[in-house]
Amino acid sequence: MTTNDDFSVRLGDWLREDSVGRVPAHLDAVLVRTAATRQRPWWSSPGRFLPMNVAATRLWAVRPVSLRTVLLLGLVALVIAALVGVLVGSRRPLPPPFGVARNGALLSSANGDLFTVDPKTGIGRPLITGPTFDFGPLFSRDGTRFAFLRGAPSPCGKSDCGLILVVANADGTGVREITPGEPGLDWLDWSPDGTRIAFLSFVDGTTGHVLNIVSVDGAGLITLDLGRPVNQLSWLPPDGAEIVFRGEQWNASNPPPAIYAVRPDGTGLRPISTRPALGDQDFNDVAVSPDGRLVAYRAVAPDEPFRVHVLDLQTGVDRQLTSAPGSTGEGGPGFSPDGRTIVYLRWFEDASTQLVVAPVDGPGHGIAIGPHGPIGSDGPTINNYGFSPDGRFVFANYDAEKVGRLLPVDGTPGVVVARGDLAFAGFQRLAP
Amino acid sequence: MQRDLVERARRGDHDAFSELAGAAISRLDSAAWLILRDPEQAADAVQNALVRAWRDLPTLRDPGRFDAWLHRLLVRSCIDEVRRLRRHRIDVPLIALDAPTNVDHLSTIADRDQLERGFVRLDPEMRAVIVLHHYLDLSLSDVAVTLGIPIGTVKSRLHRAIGLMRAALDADARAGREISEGRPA
Repeated sequence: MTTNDDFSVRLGDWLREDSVGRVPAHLDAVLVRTAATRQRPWWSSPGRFLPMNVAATRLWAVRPVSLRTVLLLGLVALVIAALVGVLVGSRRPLPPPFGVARNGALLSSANGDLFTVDPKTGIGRPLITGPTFDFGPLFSRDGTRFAFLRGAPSPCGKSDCGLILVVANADGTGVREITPGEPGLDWLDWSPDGTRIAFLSFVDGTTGHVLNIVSVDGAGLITLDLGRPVNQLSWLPPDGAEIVFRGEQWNASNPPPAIYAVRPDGTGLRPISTRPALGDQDFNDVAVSPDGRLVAYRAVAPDEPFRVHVLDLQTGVDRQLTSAPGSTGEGGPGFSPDGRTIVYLRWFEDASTQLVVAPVDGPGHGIAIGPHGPIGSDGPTINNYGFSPDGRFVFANYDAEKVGRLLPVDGTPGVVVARGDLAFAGFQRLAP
Repeated sequence: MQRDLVERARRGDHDAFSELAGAAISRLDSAAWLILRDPEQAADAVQNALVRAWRDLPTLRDPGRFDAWLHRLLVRSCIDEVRRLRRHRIDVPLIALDAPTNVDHLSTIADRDQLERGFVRLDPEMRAVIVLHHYLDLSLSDVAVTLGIPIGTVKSRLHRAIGLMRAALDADARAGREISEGRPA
């Protein structure tokens, strides 16, 4: 009789001996096959992580609607139409670009079409449909328009036809394409005044993403050469005079990763992180507070648990949020609309993760919200989360369960408001 | 730097993918052989895993998780191979008749034979858990991540697999004793 440890050692030795001497001779055949195989566009994967609410989704839960409900809704629509008639001429107040606002529509995409969803009922309503593959809607900060991504027509004479950036009014009218097909189009953000959109794309001859700025009328598209790959961009509140981004290290010729700020015209590039990088994954998941004073990020040191740090841009002080015992890592921070709390993802030894809401400047381990979700081979399965405009909820996708949950920030049980392969559902901001 | 290669391959750089595939194929081939016990099926599984990797690489969210993702594709390809062919062929290694016959060596060979007999009786899903944990040295958490199953399922599957192998070895040992004592096996 042997012990389990003895047996494990014998088994491991045998597995290694049994596989010794195998020399695969089919690499060339594999490479012939792959060279003839077209890669899937990155955006064809539903739920792929993108910032804000930029990601493809397949199916919102749409409940069957009875005739009685239809009649009732029709009556309500008539009343609303009458009210709208009365209110014509009076301009709707707009929310400020940053800070607390009222929750408006929840907007996402399914099978290449855009939908609004009532967060209270989960009932979806098509907004932009048709033969084009549209996804990843992101509201402007005043909630009057949204931008989204559209698969460029293929073939186009290039290996990657890319995506087109499109803008529409909040009610789905006024759709207009504002860029040509951009390979690798990713990570976009509206300027605070709503006149421009910053986005990432690939450019031939460069490594990693480059930063682009375009006016929402499609004029003045510029690409900035910042001398390093760019990721995780945000316009810096309150005036958007600068854009904050993560400078990436894709190869040895790139400088170590750091957090930078640059003016939208490409001048004034400056590092804002105040310590050297601890590895090529350091200074990740960059998020900016609504008042522009703080930057939160995931600090990653080799062989150390990754942690959420908060950097004060005025004092340069960089401090770690209190981590919880038993946590193997914490990352993916996002600020609440009032800037007082942060939502982030906590990792555990059993390969699961959970969302946590914690005060920006307080002690404690924060309040756990929502259930645990497993870590998949491609990262956490809790994805694309963020605060509602009123700051009372966090919306999050649980990819493993294929549901979207609206979770109260006080830790009380949340509700499932969507089902399917979901992406982040962005909230429209309305005047308080 | 693997991350750079992964990023370049995600953008369609086939040379970068060739480097990644070249660095991984030996490890993948060995793991596939251990799971499938058939060299042709193993080669097919590795090919399919690498073709899927190339095709789907742009959708990989985190380039830092390339290895775990590739292992998952390989295990899926192995299971697909088993389901596709619905055949079980066991290549029995031949022992050279003129091999040295010292007792320790024979004992080692018998030990290996017993381990192999026990191992091939497992279904491919159980073999995959054993290969990931005991051959590729992945932690139980990483096995769970690679296979996309809860860690509790990994533990129970591994416990059951080891238990089945030990039972098979004990049965072999009993049969050996009975033969040596002149009783029918």
